[in-house]
Amino acid sequence: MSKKITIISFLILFVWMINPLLANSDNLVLFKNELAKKFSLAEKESKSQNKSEFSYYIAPRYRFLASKKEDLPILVSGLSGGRVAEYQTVESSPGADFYIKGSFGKRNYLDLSGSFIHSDEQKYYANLDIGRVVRNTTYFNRFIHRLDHDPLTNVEDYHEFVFVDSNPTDEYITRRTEIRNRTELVIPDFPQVKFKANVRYIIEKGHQQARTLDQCFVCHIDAQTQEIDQRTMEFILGTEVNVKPVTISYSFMSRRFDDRATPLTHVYTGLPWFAYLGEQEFAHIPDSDKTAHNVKARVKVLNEAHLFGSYTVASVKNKHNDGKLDLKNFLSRLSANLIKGLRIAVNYQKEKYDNHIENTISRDTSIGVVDLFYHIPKQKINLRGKFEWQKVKRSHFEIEETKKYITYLSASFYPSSKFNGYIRYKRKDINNPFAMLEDESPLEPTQELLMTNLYTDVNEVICGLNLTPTSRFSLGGNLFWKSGKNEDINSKENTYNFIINMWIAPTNKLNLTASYGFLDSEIKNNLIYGTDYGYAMGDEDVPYNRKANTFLISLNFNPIEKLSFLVDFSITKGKSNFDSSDIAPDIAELTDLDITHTRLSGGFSYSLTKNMAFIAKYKYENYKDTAWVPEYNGKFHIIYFGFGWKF
Amino acid sequence: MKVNKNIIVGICIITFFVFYLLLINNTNSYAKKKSIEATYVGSETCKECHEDTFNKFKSTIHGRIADFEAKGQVLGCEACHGPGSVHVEEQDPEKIVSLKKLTPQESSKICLNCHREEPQIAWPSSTHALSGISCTDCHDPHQTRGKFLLKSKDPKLCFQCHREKIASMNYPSHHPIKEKKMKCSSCHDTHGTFRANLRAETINELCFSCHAEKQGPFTYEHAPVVENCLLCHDSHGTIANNLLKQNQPFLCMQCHPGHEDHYHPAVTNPEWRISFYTKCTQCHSQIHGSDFPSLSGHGRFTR
Repeated sequence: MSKKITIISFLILFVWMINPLLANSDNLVLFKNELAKKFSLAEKESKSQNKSEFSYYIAPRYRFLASKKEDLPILVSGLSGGRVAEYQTVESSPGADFYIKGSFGKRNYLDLSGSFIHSDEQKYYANLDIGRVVRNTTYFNRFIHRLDHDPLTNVEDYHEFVFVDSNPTDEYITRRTEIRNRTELVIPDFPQVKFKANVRYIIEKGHQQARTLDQCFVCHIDAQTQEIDQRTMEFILGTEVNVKPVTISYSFMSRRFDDRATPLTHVYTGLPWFAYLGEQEFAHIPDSDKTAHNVKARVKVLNEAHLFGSYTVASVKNKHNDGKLDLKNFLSRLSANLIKGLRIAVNYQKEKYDNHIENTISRDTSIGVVDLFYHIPKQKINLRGKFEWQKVKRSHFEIEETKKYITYLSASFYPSSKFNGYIRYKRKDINNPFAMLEDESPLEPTQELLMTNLYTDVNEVICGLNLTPTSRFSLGGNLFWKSGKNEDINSKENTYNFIINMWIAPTNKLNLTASYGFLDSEIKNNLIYGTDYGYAMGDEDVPYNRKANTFLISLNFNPIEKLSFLVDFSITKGKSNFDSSDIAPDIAELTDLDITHTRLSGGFSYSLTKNMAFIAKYKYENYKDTAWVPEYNGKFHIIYFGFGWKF
Repeated sequence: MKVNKNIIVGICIITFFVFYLLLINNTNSYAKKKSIEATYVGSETCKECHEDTFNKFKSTIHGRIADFEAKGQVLGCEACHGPGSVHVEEQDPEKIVSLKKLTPQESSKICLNCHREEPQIAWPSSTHALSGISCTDCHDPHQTRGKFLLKSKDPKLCFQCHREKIASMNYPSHHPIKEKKMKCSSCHDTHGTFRANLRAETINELCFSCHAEKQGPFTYEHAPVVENCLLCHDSHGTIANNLLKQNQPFLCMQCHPGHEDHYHPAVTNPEWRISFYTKCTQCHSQIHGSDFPSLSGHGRFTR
């Protein structure tokens, strides 16, 4: 690694040294004759900038939950996917949106905005710029996430199990609060140097379901309510030096993760030769520390040639088992114009993942990329070709080496402002993709068993067209096709994805956007399962099908100057299933998905005076999975009323 | 880390080959366009005809730039549009730099003249730059609304090109982008520092920056978790729960044979089969890794 760093350092130094010799820069042509004449807008404006100019907006409102309690299980999917109000609060509550924005003093600026919906759903942003010397940005974002709660329906009739869950409707939620602060400091006498200090603090609090497996003559699943009280504290200190033609940045990152929740325990019973018995901890989340040093550099060789490099050394420590892993990542890229319109980028990346825990996987990854881009101005066509080579070497894992060869070709064209399109093709050839490999197959003890969900050959095509025949109408569509197959295990995939968008504005007062998306995918793979006579494999590859239809429409209507309407509607139907008839005849109803998620929000704003408006909004969501247990479906209606003042 | 000498030699050869070509092809259309003999007239002159644009520009970040930030450079309108004397004299829109009329690389070059530091540090070799995207495709330097001079908000702006993601963000399992709790830029750096425009060196490091509880390193690790989160998950949205590519048990059984238990009739009794073949993570709940062994003494992620 040190050799590589030395070579790259010499390269950067060399390029820097020869740069003035080659600097027949059009940039200098642009500015050479008038550098002394600084007609600076900032200079002329500086005297007038001593006065304060602010604009304010505040919109208090009240939100009514108009649903019946029984319509709001809002829970959990268990085995199925999706849920109504997964990331939203739905209780009646007061709220407000606001902003304060403006300048004060000499070149000082403040931008403060926020949205309070509920104590568990609020977002704020503050940007303070003091004379361009100190720039501070703070974000605050809090939202909820309703978590899984597995009702264990499939096991309750057949197994004895302990089930100590709380009421999932109320308890299985995590409240995530993230605070980010970024500060930049520039010393006016040394504007080439910038100092940076970033802080990021994440608090996750709530409850989730935790499960463990006990075993006697039958299996037991113990499901308990686990407290979530996790903190992630991240500091980044860095500096950046920008002296033409070189930019260098260095940063040090420290991230500490702490789980402060009370550990869960379970009294394990069983037979004497089991690994442990009695009261033991489970579902433990270890505290960890991560530190990382990163250096990035870019040197501008000529006007169009740039050399970029990044080197990261990181270390992660698990404070529970004292396990440690080291990460090193080196990335270099050279981009330059070969001839007029033809640009080349050459990338090389090396990653080393070194896990010091016994019998765990370590990995070396090397990636090389050659990327060519050709712009034909007259025909208004862009052509791009890319070849990527990857090699992954692993230790303590059966698949010791994987090689990937990726070819990418694309063409985009925009013959007029009314018409443009593109087509892209990607091919991946993969030798020995990541897989589970065992010396003996349960089906054929004399043979190896190879199982994976990855492919050795992948072809992808995506194409799109955009038409804008008039300034009031546009139409666009994308078509994506993927074909994958693994000849080693005879698995395959075929996926089609199509999306069409339309925008129309019949009058200045009305505009409408609509999108329709369609997904159809089939995967076939070999599944091995137990039978009365040992292991078996289905006669044919087991198919897994996915289908999704998504329709979205958005409408803006301003019938009169004082009144504006906004309506958003979306419906997504998602289905997935697999042929489990050979494996277990009755599991289909517990694993198949047939979900319909409908969302509607609509509202209007009416200007009562020049600065004040009345705002009303209605929101509806309905989540329904007809293939899964119906009592987990949910819906809600919410109505908002409020006023907005702008001054 | 061992260095492959052939690769280093290869890089050096390509690098010097490129320099050679640069020396013999040091011309571009932008330089020619700028050879117009014009001088700077100052932003107040521009205001006389372009008052609305001038007033908008004044309140943007570019209008607030301090002198010390751009020593030796022209500020104001002509910092981007070039000297305007000929344009003013002849009232000819062709005699001033219009970013719309330049090639993507030429127009981006004007921005990069100042924006050399992070996050634009790697822009010239980024995927977007090499796809013919210019800075002004996403940013409007005259824009007064919103942050970072974006033409529209993230994710709406990204969806204008990445349409296929509109549908996946609406699938039953998704990151909260539609709910405005996250943005595309929460994970992606559109200026292209790292591969796939990620905000971290690798996919896993990006995921762990928010999901730190899954980073371990665990005593008993699940191999695909340390290899690549995307072996099981699709971060842009899925039909199956928890952003899984396929629902259980299909996803798991592509790599693992199902149970065949010798101690009880798990495989012979159809009712018991339902328990064993419905959802693997009911029992293997610590699937992202664990520091505790399972009852067998091995890492089976049940504890």
